[in-house]
Amino acid sequence: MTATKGATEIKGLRDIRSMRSSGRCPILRLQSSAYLTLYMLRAEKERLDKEAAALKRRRQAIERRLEEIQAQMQRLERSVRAEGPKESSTRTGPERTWRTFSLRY
Amino acid sequence: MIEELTTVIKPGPVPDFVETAFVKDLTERALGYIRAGFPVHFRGASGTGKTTLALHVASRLGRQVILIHGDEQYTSTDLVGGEYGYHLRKVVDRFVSRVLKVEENMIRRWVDNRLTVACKYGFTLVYDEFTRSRPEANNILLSILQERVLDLPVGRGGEESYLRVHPDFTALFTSNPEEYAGVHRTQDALRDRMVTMDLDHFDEETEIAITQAKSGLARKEAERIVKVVRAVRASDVCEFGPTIRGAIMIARSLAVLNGHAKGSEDLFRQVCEDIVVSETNRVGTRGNRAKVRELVRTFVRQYSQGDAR
Ligand SMILES: Nc1ncnc2c1ncn2[C@@H]1O[C@H](COP(=O)(O)OP(=O)(O)OP(=O)(O)O)[C@@H](O)[C@H]1O
Ligand SMILES: [Mg+2]
Repeated sequence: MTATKGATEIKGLRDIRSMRSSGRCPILRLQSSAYLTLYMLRAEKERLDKEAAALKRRRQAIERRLEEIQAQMQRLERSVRAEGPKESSTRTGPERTWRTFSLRY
Repeated sequence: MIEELTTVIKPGPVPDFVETAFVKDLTERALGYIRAGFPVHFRGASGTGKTTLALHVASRLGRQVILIHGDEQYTSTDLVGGEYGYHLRKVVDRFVSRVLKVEENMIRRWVDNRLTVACKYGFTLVYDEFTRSRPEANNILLSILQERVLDLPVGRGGEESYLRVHPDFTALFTSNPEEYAGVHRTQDALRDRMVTMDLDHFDEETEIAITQAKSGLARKEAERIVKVVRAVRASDVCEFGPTIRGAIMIARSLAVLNGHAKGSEDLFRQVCEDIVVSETNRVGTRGNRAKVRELVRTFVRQYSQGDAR
């Protein structure tokens, strides 16, 4: 994979606090009320809860798939091994005989 | 870790292969360049006998032949080889005393392709219509032809990353400069490393001999067919003139239809018209078709004069 790194793949970038989570509110202090702040915090919490749940589901799916792959690889490696060693047949010297195909022009 | 999935070709002439002075001269010159160490490139329009000649020269070299047809889709992996599937490798660790440690793991399996096989065993490569492949795919040939080393992509399971080209390895190329659609211009660097022989249509004698050999018609009749075909070709009416293939088709069709290439036979004129029109009209505009038909009729009449009526 030589694709350029997305912002999410750069280590540490995710951890930089956004304006909101750093506690500074873009709306002027003067106009804010406790209700408004509460509303905004509730909205953010809901969003983050949803995100966390989605991540949890994704993690479970990845783990399931990894287990499947592991099992499938073991099965295939066993059956390939059971077919017997083919090692010697792959390395033949220049004396090997060729399948020839005669072509009339 | 090398495995080849290649079938080699043993070319040989058909019984009706014709070797006139013209063909012999081309063959001998090409063989000379090859003996001098240069790959040969036959360049010519469709039907000038490039492919046949390349196979003939290859057969004269007496080595096994690897045949590749240029293809837009080719990558150098198609020529050189690549990883195909998996291969189980046993690793026996002899350094662990007494206990023989056998470790098995799956590694990717490398499969050589035709070009690698030809370089390794000194076969003759016939690369037909090589300009149809993209230049990037053909780049691999530069070092093969010049330094006689084949650069192999990495990942070839523990093998060296380059391969010395066998001294008997030779390459023959063909290309058609007329074709533009889907054809890439020969890269200059590649063309610089080969001797290009421009082929024109065969001389009249050779065309007559081929037409006769491929149809079994009498010499006089083959002659008449070839004269008509050559006259149409020399006229400027067709964008693509009729080739030796046209002459062979006319002769064979006549033979099958029990006809004869004689002015007294309507069939001769009809077959000539059909085949020449079909061979020369690639786009098929009505006006041009009619012009070619008229031309064929004139030449058939002209070359059949003096026939017994
Ligand atoms: N020396 C020969 N003896 C007999 N037949 C021949 C000879 N040379 C060529 N021909 C015939 O002439 C026809 C055209 O030859 P060939 O296919 O080699 O042409 P080409 O230049 O490769 O054409 P294209 O560009 O269309 O591939 C074929 O039918 C072939 O059998
Ligand atoms: Mg050809």
